[in-house]
Amino acid sequence: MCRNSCIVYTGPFSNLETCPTCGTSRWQEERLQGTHGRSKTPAQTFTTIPIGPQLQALHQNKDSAADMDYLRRRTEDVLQQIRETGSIPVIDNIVMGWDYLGAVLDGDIKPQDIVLMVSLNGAQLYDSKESDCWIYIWIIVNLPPDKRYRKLHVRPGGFIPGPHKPKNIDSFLFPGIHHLAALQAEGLPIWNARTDSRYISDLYLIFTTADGPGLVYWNGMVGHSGKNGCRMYCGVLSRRKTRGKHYYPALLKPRDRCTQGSDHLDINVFKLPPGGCAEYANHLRTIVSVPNQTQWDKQKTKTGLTKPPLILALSPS
Amino acid sequence: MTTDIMHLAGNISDLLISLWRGTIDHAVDDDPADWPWAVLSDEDVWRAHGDAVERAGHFLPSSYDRKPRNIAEKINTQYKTWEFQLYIFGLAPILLYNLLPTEYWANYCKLVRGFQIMCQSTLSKEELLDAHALLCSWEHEFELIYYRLQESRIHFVRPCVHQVVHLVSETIFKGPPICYAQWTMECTIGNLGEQIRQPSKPFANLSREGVR
Repeated sequence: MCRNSCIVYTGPFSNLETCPTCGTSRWQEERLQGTHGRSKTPAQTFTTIPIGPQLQALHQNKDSAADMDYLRRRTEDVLQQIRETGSIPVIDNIVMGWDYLGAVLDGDIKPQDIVLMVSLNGAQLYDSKESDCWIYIWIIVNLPPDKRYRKLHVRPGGFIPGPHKPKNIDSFLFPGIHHLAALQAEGLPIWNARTDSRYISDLYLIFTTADGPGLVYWNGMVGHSGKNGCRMYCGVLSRRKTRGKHYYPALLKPRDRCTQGSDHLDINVFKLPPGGCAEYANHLRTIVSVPNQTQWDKQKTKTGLTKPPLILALSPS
Repeated sequence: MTTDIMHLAGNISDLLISLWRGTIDHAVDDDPADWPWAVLSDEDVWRAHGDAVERAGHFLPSSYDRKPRNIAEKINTQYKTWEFQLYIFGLAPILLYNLLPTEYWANYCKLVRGFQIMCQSTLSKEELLDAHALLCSWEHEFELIYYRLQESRIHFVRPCVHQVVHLVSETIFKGPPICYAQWTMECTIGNLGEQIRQPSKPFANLSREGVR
């Protein structure tokens, strides 16, 4: 990776010798010069821990394989309940969420599949700026809730060393997400110790989480002070002050004065659209097809998007 | 994308405290002294309030694990998110009774009750309906009584105010917010941080611990 944490030499950057952002060399220059260009040692490296083998290992022990069965059992219970009563009276798990149930009913999540969440966050490991780093972790939804969030079962996905903030975080996430995409394409072979059976498991990434500002790395949206800044992408437009740059999600229109573009009518809080605006696909198409920077700036404000997110490469998108 | 109730709790606490203390940015002609809700702006009142928070800690059941510290003394020295959460959604509704004007106190209580419901790991349909009504009417009133539709105060309506309104529909789609809150992440960071034994090469060390 770049020594200033601008980019990682992955994907479209993999053949570069210098960082396109800060211009520093990819290699340890003394070594490179000393050996007349023969020894190429990276100036800085970062770690990605593949999730696949960890998931396979979880099935190779009878107890943990039984734990991994929790999601399937729970899903059956819930579906049974819906069939009998026609409703979900109590929500106490992701299993009861429409997102998950919808994916199960559509056949995107099958009984033997593995469901994952990923979470990205900046961290300061101890009291010094030097220890700043970025971490992402996998949470395995198949496990029962009392084990799922335990230290033992939270799987680190990768570490991005600081102290500089990573500028192109997509390139850092690339190896981990690429690994996941490959497993999705080919399936993950599992030997299950509990049932002594072999099968192919598909991986399903259900949620991506991060702290508020970190979310933009996953979804390619504008920051939360953008005009279309709602993190759930509900499509409600924010308002700004006459000479201000930041937008705020005030639903009611200011009565004293109001700048153009922020003067839309009052919005009824009880009639707010849910997240995941239907216009997302159209907006994304607009933002990837803009011809130049000026247009991009304009469309960015309007749509609240900056780029297609890396996770769109995953199935089903 | 998912809302994260951990950071949400922190952001809401920050917003409300800066409103009540009158420390939030404001226009030159909009003096916090005229704000009916800025009841903690007086330094003595704020100190007394902080002491009350500390004393209240003795009466918390042991299941709460630890006591929150004196908020007036510690607010600038890494007051933790769980302390803010316990303060805003546990202690402050009682400590601010008769201190905040009734209109503001009642508005605040709607938020507290709604948010408490949304933090439960088990939610019934009735509770969700209840929480949605409470949180939406909190948001609406918040705009009316704090921002008062004045352009110079539009920044009172921070993103976290809007996020609250989405909590219930998000839960219906995704399950209880606690299932995907960032507490796990912060805890992992803490765990990994503890395990680092060689501060000079933190990342190499961390990566090794992570692999283990």
